[in-house]
Amino acid sequence: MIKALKTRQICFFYIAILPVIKFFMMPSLVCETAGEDLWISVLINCLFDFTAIFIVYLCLKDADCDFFTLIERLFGKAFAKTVAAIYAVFFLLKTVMPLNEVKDYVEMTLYITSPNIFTFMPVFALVIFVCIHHMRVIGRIADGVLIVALIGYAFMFALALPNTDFEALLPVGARGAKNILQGSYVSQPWFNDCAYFLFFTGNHVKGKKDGLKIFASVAVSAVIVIFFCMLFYGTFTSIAFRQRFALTEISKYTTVINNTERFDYIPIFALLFTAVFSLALPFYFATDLFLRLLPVKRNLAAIIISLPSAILLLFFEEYFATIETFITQIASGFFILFGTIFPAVLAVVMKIRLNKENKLEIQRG
Amino acid sequence: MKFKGVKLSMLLLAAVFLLFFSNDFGLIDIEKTAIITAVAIDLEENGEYKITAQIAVPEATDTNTENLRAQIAGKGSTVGAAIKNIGDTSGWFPQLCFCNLIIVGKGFSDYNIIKVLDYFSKTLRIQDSALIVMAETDGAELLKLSTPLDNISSFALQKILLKNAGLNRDVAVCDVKSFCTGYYSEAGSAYMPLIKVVSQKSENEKASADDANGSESSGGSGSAEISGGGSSGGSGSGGESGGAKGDAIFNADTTALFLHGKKVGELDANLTLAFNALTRDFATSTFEVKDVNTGGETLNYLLTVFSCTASRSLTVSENGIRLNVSLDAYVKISDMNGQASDLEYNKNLPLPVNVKERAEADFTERITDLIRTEKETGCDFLDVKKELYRKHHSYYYVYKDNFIENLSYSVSVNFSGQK
Repeated sequence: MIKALKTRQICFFYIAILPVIKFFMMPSLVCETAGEDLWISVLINCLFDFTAIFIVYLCLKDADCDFFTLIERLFGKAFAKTVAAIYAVFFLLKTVMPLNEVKDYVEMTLYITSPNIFTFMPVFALVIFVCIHHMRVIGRIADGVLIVALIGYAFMFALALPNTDFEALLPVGARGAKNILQGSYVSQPWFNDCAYFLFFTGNHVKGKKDGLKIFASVAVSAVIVIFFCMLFYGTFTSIAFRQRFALTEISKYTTVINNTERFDYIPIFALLFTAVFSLALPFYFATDLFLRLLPVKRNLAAIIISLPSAILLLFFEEYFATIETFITQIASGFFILFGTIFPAVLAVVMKIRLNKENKLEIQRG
Repeated sequence: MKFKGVKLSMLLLAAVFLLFFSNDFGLIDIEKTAIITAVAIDLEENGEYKITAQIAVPEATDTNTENLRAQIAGKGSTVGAAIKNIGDTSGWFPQLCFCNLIIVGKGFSDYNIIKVLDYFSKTLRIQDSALIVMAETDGAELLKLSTPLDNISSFALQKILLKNAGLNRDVAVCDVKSFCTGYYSEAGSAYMPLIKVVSQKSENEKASADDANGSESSGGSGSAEISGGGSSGGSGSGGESGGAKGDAIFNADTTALFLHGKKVGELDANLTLAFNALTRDFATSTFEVKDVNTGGETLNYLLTVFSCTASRSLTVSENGIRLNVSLDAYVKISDMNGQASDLEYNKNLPLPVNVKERAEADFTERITDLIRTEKETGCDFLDVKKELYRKHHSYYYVYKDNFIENLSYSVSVNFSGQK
């Protein structure tokens, strides 16, 4: 069976695509409760993600198919379909915040004179374009955007660094465990990246030291996000909590910008370009899961999956404050459960069953 | 065939992206766009805000300088409403992304200024790196002045606020973000330059009168503050004579101090210079050391700072807070007003002891005055409370409401020359 991805592409996926979507609203949202300890809240989330990916990889590294196919093999169709349905909802919910924040950004900065929801709709063309393709498209996107994302990170961090007051991150832990954990909790919709790994495990060409490469790339991804959050707080300190568009804000205070105007838009656009693909990913995986539930054509599934989000943007924009509260306050528990705990626990259970099956096969000769 | 289809769809996608990200779905007519270079905010008697915007109107020729100083005002009960009013009354769309200067009028002296400045830190329409200043007059008046240095008065103002390397660091520059972070910080303290309009003619007349009175030592003092100090930029009463050079200049070397958004005091030119020495890159700045007795002759010296290291640290205990300020600078003599040419300073010889001692005493006094001003006004521009929060957090809740009363200080200044 030809594998959809190469280990290199999984690594690029974590380094290039996943961090960018966390650069918009998430840091300011965490700041509301965790203040200067926002990086600790983010670190906690990254550690949870890393641990879940670590467990899933170790348990299923010898599997020959992805997590969901393996569930069907081990636990039957009914359980597999239930899990697929839950994860389809999971990925659809995961699209809500990023989609709205990117839409807000486009409307409030690029289309300030005539903010109109239809100007954002072309994004769905790209989303559907990605969704109708085979899993290989994910690898190709990862290969393609890596250089763009790296240029974006390098430029943006270099521009923001001179104006960052790292002492603003002091005192460490002064906000207290409750606020730090609250910061971690509300930012769950942007994390739980182990859910993506469920599609990759058993679905990539195996090579030497794959685990090390994947863990290293997840760690690099975490470092990028944590460092960005530190730069963000060091730049805005006491007003960080209300900077909704961190991505476009942190690099503009360098002295060079004062003399040459906003050339920092070069890295911003590089990262926005990457963010659009990042935005399409949950749709892609939701489509994939939808196809496991209903035997329809992939093109139709992509449209059906994109439809709720488009309707949400078109007709329910006025309820976004309520939706935001729902996603960050209530749905966050759902994200932790199915993004981190459930995959890790189920992977351990699957490993035990696989070991039992192997033993039985050996006994049978 | 399939390959062609993919190619076509990629091209279509690229075209959509190009239109999407370049805002071609939302273009505004350039002729209906007002590119605002500066705004002035004044408080009306009825409590409304009046925003005067200085607009750069693009045109084919540069002979009509009046056209480059188009100004338009709007009123509203909030800053956002006043800016919108500008567009509604003029038909021009106010494009604020090039606005680099916000002038706050004198009417806001007893007003919580964050009520007007907060808009600029929240909106994405204007860069929060825009400079903010307080005018000693109405804000709009500053914009009305025309300047011999630039067709647009706000550009002349920016020249004295953001100085090129090699000029004195004598303006306590502040942008929207810095002011707001100060306001929302633990201490609630912030500052901004106070802009004064000084008539150059009257200053010259005053200098002439001083000369006529035979004041021999006045050459390096009063007049240097205006023309030589670099903290002032030329301007003129343009309304009277169009593009002709006027007789007024801007002065920005005074700093207005704010506590919880209200103006509580000022730093004069000497204190602002000392404040900048403690908080900014002070290299290339110059300062005068006057009336130094050298070899039986009383001389004035001009010293140039080549490198400067300043530090502030706190020692906190149950007995109180001690602020330790130290300033180490390496300086060279740039000029002196001796009767005969003195080769000593050309040869980079060591700084004369009496010049060094006088300079150190001068700066020690200025820094001591700075700390006294902090204690008197309650405005924590020296970041004592911030340091207390960040580095002595265990004492923060002990002193957070009375850190000013419990503040003692020590100042150490060391100037050195060639060794």
